[in-house]
Amino acid sequence: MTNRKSVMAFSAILIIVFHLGVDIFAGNGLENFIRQTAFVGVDMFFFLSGLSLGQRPLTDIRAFLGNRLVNVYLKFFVFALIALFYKGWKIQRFVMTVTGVELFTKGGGAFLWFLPAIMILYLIYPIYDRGYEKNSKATITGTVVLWVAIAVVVTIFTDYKALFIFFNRLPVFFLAFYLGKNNVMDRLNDDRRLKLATGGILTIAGAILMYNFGFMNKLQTPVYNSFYILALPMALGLCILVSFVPENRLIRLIGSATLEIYAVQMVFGYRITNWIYMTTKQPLLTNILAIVIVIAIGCGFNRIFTMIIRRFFRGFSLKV
Amino acid sequence: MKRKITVLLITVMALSVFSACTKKDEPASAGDQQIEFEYKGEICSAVKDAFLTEINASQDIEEVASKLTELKEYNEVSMLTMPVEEGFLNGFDGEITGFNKGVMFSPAIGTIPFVGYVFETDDPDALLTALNSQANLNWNLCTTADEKLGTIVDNYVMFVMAPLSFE
Repeated sequence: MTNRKSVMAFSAILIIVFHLGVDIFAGNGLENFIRQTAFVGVDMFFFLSGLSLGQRPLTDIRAFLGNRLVNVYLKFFVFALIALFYKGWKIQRFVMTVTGVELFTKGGGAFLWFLPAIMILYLIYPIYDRGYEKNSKATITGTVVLWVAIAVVVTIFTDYKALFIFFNRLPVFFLAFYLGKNNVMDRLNDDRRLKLATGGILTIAGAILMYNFGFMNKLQTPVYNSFYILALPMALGLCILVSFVPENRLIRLIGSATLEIYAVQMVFGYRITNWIYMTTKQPLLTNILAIVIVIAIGCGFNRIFTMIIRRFFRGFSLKV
Repeated sequence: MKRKITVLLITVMALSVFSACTKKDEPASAGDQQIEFEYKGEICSAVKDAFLTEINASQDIEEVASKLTELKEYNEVSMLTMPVEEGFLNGFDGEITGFNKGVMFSPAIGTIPFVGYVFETDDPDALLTALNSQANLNWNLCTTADEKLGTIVDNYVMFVMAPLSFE
């Protein structure tokens, strides 16, 4: 995808807005809508991951998994360690977090849930890719049937909802993988007007869907948290539109540190934002400063991780 | 093979119709039995105590809600109040109706898992039943409240969902 870092930076800021946003105009419908649906940044990240994996042939599974282990799981482990001491966790919670158990019990309430979730996808991906290379139609059909069956059975026969925040993002990931394999985005790039129209229509249609089913009234049928699936058009549309924004040094800096930015906002972000708001009592200033500070700290962590990985894990490409 | 997969897919999709019949707590009729809330956190306890004190001092629910944002148990988390109307409210899966006036009190940062309401209503029992049945502790997606509590004083209902404590 062209200007991929622009899309990543935009998605990261959307997620900060979702987690730490303070209402500027209390009760304003549009502001509420933007803030409460900014979780679509997560769907954009799932889309970018799937697209990237679809576009690159998987030649060395061990190198791929090793790369992900170092560039995703290791950082997740370090931030969990920081939270252990900073937030005064019990050791039990730390173990449940780093083993991924908390993801299955708490879903979106799990610490940095996106990271163990994407690691699970990276572990499954080589199997999917192998199946896709052998018989793409059977693999796609089988995946869809399996996904629908699991979602419907769990919804009908259980009260288990925790993992649907991740499970319902699988469609956007696998769709992106398919688009990547078939070079759809590259072909779209060749026609700017078509690309703009596609992005615009998807974003508007997606926003309408989100307003009706993913905002105050979150759709829970036919499967739990179905509204996540309806976020797909808006996520795709925003990815396409934002890819028009050319990268610059700052955007590349932010776009390279999105994991750390996410972690920093969840570990320190609430305290930072609350302190700024208590001090200034200015919601707009609070939002701007919180975003800037979280990004700055996140980029700082990224620099440190980059140095450590280059020193001790040479050979692992930093391309995620 | 393709036909079998198609039939299987249609069967699974048809089963999804039954998902509309998932177990959902039906709201009890007004006055059937008192709803018992189990709570152990300091936040719910403090909010309830403060509400019982403030509502006896003033029947202005905006003033009461404002007082409920000043508890030391919030550990300096900035809180706001906002009037609300019947319809979809933060923290609930369905529309909330049956009140004349309502005020929400919640942290300035929306994803902190705390939300509280003070309502003025003609039928407090029915409203509390509806609030309890529609409440979703995971309304914030990425954070979860630990417990919920509702209480009635005359024609006033207070309902809160909160973590056990603010760290």
